[in-house]
Amino acid sequence: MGKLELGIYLALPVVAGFLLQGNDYALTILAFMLIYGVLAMATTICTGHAGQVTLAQAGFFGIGAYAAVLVTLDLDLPFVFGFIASLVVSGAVGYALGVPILRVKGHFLGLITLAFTQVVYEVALHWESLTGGFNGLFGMTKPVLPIPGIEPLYSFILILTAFWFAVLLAADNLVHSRYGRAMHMLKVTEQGAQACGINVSRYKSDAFALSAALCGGAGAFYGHFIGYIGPDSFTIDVSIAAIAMAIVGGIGDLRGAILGSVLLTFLNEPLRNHPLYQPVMYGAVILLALIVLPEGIVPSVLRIARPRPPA
Amino acid sequence: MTDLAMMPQLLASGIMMGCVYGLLALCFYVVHAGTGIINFAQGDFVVLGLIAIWTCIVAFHMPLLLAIPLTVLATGLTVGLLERLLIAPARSREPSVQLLITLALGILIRGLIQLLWGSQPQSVPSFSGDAPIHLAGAAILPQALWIVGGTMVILAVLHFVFTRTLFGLALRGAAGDREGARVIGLNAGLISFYAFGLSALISGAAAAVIAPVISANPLIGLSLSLKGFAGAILGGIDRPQTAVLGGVFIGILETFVAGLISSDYQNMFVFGVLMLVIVIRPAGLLGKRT
Amino acid sequence: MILSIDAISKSFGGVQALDGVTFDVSEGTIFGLIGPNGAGKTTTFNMISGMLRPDSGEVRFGGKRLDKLSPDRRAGLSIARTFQHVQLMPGETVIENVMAGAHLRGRSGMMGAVLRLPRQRREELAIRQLATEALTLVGLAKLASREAGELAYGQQRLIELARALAMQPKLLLLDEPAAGLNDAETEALGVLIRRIRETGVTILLVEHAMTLVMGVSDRIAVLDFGRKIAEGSPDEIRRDQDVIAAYLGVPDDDDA
Repeated sequence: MGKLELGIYLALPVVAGFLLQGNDYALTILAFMLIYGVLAMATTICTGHAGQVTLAQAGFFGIGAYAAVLVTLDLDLPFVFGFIASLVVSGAVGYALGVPILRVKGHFLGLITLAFTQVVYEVALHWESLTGGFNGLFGMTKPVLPIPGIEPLYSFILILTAFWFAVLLAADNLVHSRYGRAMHMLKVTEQGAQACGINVSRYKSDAFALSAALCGGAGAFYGHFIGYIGPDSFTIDVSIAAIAMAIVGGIGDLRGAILGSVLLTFLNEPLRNHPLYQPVMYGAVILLALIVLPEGIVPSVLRIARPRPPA
Repeated sequence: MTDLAMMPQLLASGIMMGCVYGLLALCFYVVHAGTGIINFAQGDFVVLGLIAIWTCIVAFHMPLLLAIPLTVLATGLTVGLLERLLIAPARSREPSVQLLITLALGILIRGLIQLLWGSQPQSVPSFSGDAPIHLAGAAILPQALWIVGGTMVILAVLHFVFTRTLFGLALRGAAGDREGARVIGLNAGLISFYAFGLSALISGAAAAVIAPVISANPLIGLSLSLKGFAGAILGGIDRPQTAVLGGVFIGILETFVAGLISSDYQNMFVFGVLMLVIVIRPAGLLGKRT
Repeated sequence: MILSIDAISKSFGGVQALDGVTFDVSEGTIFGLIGPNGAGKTTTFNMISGMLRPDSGEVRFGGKRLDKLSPDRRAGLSIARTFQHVQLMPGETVIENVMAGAHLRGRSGMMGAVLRLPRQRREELAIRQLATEALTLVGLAKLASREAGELAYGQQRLIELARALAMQPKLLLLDEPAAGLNDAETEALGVLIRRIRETGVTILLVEHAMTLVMGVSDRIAVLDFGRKIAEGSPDEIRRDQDVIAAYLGVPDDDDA
């Protein structure tokens, strides 16, 4: 992505948030778009770019949220320490999980990561001394900036935007590097990757751990934004939403993750009071995207818009 | 009751659940061998079967002799149709895309069932009453005999399919190698259709016999998928015989953990075993050495 | 000897695919490996590239045992290869594909990539430079920014060759590079292979198309039913009675 394009992406939430000050409902939706945007970008890196289908987003989202909240609540440290803890703990767990399972050939990762998300849910439910069990943890407050003249909620959006944009920038840099190129080769041809001297299992587990850390960071923001976390905040539905967003927007392209998170957060809004329709919507949307618009919206549009160079 | 006295009882219920997981592990084998896909929607196929048997027996008061075949058929047809509509068009796509399609299919089935039938567990009466049979210190529900017997019948039929039909030969000879299957004379599209269809027939049959002892809420599909998959990995997903045993083991393990420790830790144990097997012996404890 | 194949054998489910095959490749030469279908050419190739391990025997590269190493470790020793069926990233540009070949030229890790550290950027420039040179050598420099999947099959094979060259290999393994090419393309490939040899690269050529092998090879080994039946210069091979018998009735320019 060019500097101008990146600048526009940075400006969008900053300006939109500024204009929406006073409308807490709209700002809340914007915050969700950014948080889910990070989850969708993490999915794009691991699944879209490196080809490893994962359903662990919710698990790492949860681990990051608990890690961060425990640091700010129990240790009484500022948010930034909780945030760093969320990245480190999720990334470390992701690495520890990824190294063994990614060594195994075949497409086992998906179901194993589904089981992992399930286990994180149960640990959160049963390890009451740490997680507060079913009642969860509450009492944390969102980080704000002491800038006079702007609303606290908007200043939170600014901090969140900084994280969101850092993820976008990092992911974009990664994709266009030797490192990212190696990851992408895993998706397309493991044989070809090996022939180029790429250690397949190492790059797989790196991609997985990176996306785990990013999901964890998103969890830190989520917990402190909502002010409450419990096991039900981190069910498999979170992973499904992240995957749906990445796929609908176009899982091969980071812009797709952004567009997908914006679109589906909007689409989800009227369904919030009808939770029974949510899974049907997500299932149908993913299937529709995969079959009708296989590449997702962004790459399909780009393909039409970009004239083919002469042969 | 002392722990020791509970053993036969736990073993009996463990085997009962293990039969279901074993059949599911077999479904994972069939679809994986035929198409290379790990089918995320596997457990939801069983839920389709549960809905079907409930409809037949509770809603329409059909006799068992009619209800069971109808359930198997309905599950098979539904999934066959879904395969043609959703899986077949994506056959030439990357494996990760096919995987995501089965994932979305599972979500959709779960969502629709929740929407149309509600989340309340629906129960089906036992086939032969609820008076327990006392055997070797365990009180065994008559339904358990239905489940074990049903599993035996299914395995016998599958043995015939695997050894005597062209599809079975293609499946076993080619396990994962589509080129090899083509040599035998079945094209990849047909194999995919048969594989999904067969896995649905098994799921339907398993659902029919298990319905009276399972609380059939739509969300159970996910946990059925996970445990069947754990069984398949444990036994080796490339070998049908040991995959079944892997599933049975998971059922027994789960019941013992629930009975002796706490049902809170069931899934954690199953997952722990799954991870352990993957780290120590990726081909499965009973699987082929690579 | 840069590459020594020492009595390698391999059987698949009771079928002896290779039976004690031995040959040496000296540095800076083009070594052709030919034989009828099913003779064991591809099996031999796979044991040098690392896709298969021999049941017995040794593969040595510059005196170092290769047979226990994974394919990516072999690439790390500057052994490059191409594939019979192209293994490219079809959705990426030609230059990106070739740059992947220079992967091992870089050292910087994930942090370097994510933060675009100066060292990582320098590496990236060097990699791009190598890739451009490789593309120029195979004659595809003009197509560098095209999507690889859009190009003709023959051109895709050249991209793969360029990717292998971007590794700056000591040994280049070519797996039936002429398969699917027409006569003119095959001839151009022969010229290209000789030019690559002139840069100091040793080449092992496994090939079905006899004219290509006879035209470019310094030395040739012939396999038949998993055994080596002859080895020598192209002229010696042409006159060898065993070879003629093995190939009798097989058109010598079969590119299937």
